[in-house]
Amino acid sequence: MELSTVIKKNPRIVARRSGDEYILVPITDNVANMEAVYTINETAAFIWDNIDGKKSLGELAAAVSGEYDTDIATALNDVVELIVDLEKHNIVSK
Amino acid sequence: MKAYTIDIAEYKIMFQVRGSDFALKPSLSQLSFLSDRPDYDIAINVIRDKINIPQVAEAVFTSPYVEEINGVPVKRSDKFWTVYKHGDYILVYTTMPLSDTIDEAMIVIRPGEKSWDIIIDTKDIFINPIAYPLDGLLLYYITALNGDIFIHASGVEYDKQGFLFTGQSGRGKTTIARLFDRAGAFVIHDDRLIIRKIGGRYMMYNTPVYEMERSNYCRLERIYTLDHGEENRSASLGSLESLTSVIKNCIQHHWNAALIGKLTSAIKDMTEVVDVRSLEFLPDISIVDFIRNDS
Repeated sequence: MELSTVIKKNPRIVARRSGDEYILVPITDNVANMEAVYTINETAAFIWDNIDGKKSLGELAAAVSGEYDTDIATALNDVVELIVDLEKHNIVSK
Repeated sequence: MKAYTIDIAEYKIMFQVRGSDFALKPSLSQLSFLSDRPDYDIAINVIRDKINIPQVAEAVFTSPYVEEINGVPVKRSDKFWTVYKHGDYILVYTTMPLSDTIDEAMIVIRPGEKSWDIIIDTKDIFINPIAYPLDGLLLYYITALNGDIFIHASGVEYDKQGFLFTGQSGRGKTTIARLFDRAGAFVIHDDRLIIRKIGGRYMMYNTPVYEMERSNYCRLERIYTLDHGEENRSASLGSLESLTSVIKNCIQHHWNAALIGKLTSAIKDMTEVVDVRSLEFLPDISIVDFIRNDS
């Protein structure tokens, strides 16, 4: 993935915030697929909130770096790791 | 009778005839759920008529007809019941595969209102208003809209503690309920339960399924997600794992964000205060003492 890659949320995901975490429920064939519920922790939730279909990987990493006061390389690593996993579960796309 | 009320999981549901040429006849499974209280939470108008689905109604989900034979799901047809959106209303049209006298039926759900309809296409003059699958569909929407939980699970009360066992078909829900029954436990149900938070406590309730079944309930204190194993073994689950392992066994066909949100919130809230553990078990009586001493 390039730093300029823009990330989009799958519109067939219902996201429910619970405290600092998110519960992501995919809709399959018009019905919630509870077998495939995905949960994300606080940092991932911050990244999720920032995915707006316009921000690139680099911009998401910069946002994480600013929010959590971490270096940009660590932030980018966290963002890429999450995006790869979310993409694998069809929750986001490039 | 022209009207009667049943109390299921502390929902008081009144059925009343709309028409002059038929009467209501509750099934044997409903008898111990009959209530003589005059108040009710929801009134169901029972109408005997042909089913007319408005052309503007939008179909959102169709369920296939699946029978479970020896624990194995077998699809009998692609179309069993269909959910439609009709403005703010929800229409649930269903065929009646187990009835010889009812051709089809429809539940008209008015979220936020206390008056819903069940329209039944039959020549019968004595009508059970919640013949299969109307019973499950009606309870499903009452629990879903109320933010409660309808789950594939067995539940028992033993040694003054309420245990719920949930899992996919064939994982041992009925087996473990039978083992506790043999040990003298009070079995709430062996297949499906409603869970509600009442007065700050989580309670589990049975629903009418079997003939002459009693209305049962008890406080819920621990949840086990089941699997067969080569020994009795349990492990506490973390908060997110608790949520995902319980929610996948809920009875649901939620299609919109509001219903999905209500269910996820209800499970999240419950699993924060009710202990959830995974359980591998041997199908013999040793599991009863294991559970009693599992802490």
